[in-house]
Amino acid sequence: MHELSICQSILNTIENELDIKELENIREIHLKIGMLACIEPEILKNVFQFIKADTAFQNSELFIEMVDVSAECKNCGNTFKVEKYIFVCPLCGEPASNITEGKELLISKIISEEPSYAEVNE
Amino acid sequence: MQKLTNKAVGTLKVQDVSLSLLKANDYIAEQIRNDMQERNILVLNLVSSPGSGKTSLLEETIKRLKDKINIAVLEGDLETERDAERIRQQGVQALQIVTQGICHLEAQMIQQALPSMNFDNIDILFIENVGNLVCPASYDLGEDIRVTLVSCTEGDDKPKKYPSMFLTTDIMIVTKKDLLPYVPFSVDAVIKDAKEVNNKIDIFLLSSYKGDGMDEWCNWLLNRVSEKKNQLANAEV
Repeated sequence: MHELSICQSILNTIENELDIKELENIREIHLKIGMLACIEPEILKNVFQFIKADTAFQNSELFIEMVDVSAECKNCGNTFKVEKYIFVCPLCGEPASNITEGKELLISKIISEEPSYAEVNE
Repeated sequence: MQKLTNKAVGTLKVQDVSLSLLKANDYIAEQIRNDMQERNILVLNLVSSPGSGKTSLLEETIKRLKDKINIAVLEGDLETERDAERIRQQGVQALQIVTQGICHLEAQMIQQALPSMNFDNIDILFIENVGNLVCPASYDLGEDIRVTLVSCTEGDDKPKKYPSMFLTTDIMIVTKKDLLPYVPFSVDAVIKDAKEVNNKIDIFLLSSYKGDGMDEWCNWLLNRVSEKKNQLANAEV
């Protein structure tokens, strides 16, 4: 249950990365979360609804892509999807500790809507 | 008559980024690691479910090692000073971090606590994390070694149930060895599962209460302390 800490980190990370004037324009925040990050996406989304209220992020929504666990065997070079947390190469039986995917906990994309004022005939 | 007005027309701007949500924590953890390295202090982060025996293991470890090396302890709990008080009764420095509901320690909490401690001549800093096998896995505290305890009363299925913790762990200690005759816990099964998740994990089996296996653990710690000192001596040459 560290979704609250992660939510706070989403806001802090973007505040550090983007110009403060851009924050209100953010509409979508896309996350990549590995299955090993121990994050429940629905809880994260719910927490985000509360934490964004009355902040510059109030018009933004979270989009979460969960990433399965993959590992690479250093012995035979095989990259495989890890099932049931058995980090053993299915081809050669060697233990594989080189995790290539599944540990992610990152913001992958930010979509903003920039208001551009155009003259419109009404 | 037509009226000319200014109307906001949105343009979508897509920014592909790769921003780690643990970057701030990892940055501070690295600062702590460098700081402790300079002071030549070995840092261990102890994690487990509540009640696996982290504090008991620390009490017994301190009893056996306090005449040989200098130990300091940071205690993490949601509430109360109780664990720090237990450690202080062993005659060593202990500081309690009360997280007030937060289920894990973060590097920033450690960094804030460090100035309140005296690290003169300290050889080992133990950080006892909040009892929880899930969230502490994600937070690097700047430790050299992560130790996960599994007591035989809680079952031998922990490594597969909480793989992230065992993946990031250097040492697994099976505690409450004296209770093995009374519980359906297979040491072979827990080792097999732990090794399937993390082949590099080292394993100890001990009883803090009866003392069985404590010598092996304490000798291992003393060796790590000497290794750390040798590393520093070599780096200075």
